[in-house]
Amino acid sequence: MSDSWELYGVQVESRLFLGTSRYPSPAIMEKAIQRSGTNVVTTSLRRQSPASKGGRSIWDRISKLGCHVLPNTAGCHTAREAVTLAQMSREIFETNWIKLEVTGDEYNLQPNPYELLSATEQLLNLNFDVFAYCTDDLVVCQRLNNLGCEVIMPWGSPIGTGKGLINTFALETLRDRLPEAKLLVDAGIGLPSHAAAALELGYDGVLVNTAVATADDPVSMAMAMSRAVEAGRLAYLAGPMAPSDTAHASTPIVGTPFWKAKTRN
Amino acid sequence: MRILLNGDKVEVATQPLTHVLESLGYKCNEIVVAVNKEFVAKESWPDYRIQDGDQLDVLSPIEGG
Repeated sequence: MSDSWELYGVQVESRLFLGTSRYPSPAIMEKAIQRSGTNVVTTSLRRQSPASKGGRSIWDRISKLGCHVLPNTAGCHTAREAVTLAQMSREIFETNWIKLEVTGDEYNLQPNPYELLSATEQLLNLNFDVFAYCTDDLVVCQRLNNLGCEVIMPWGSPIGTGKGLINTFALETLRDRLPEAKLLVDAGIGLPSHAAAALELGYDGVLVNTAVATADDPVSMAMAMSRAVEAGRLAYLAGPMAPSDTAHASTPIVGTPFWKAKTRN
Repeated sequence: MRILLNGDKVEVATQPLTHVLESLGYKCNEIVVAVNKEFVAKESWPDYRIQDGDQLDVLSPIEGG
């Protein structure tokens, strides 16, 4: 089934984005990416000492995989830092895409909505394609959407927790209220069932890193995530049944053996 | 003059940014640079002169989530 979609005019097939961090080895990372079928992988930038060979080797490995690269601004705490890091990322990764992360709380790694909105506005004015990592706050997501941010990525739960979708009501509300936005659950996915649940809600995709990279077998987990995303998307398109508070027999009642209508004495 | 390179104090000669980076051992095609938290595009490095006390951040790609 072809179910391609567009991200800032770029057509992709897979609805699974994969992070490239925390894998047991670069070789396992490569294989997990390949077997997942993902079209989008995330990267980052860090300080480079002159003595070390730096990130060239890892970047060479990632760039050979044929995926679109989505650099992040992880570690930034202000809009100014994020804008600077985005500009640096654009130069070395040669893409206008930027996964915008602006941390507001170190404990939860919770995004700072005020700095996020400011950075989004500045980056859109600099012709960046912003993928905004945010909480599931409706008003923040509306503001991002109003600024022209086409891809909004609320968390399911805090980064790296693996707790899944801890506020499905808020995520459903976002989907209902922002029907035109590309919505992806960015953080907190711990199991394939979490990923499937996001797609079943009508989310356009998910971004997963820790759940795959720290699994005992990251390659198998990457494949499981891929299949879960496909299943969730297919289920959403199929139109799930409405839940009911009462039981309804699925086997026809008519012709039930041994059945006898109650009669009065 | 003394600058901060990725948070560490280092002594460098007053030179264009390209030469400063090369003298520090960097390969210029593998890095990106910010000075005092502002992005400095690679095309401007040959003409960009750093000042005493400047803060250089020299970054390269890594894995990310």
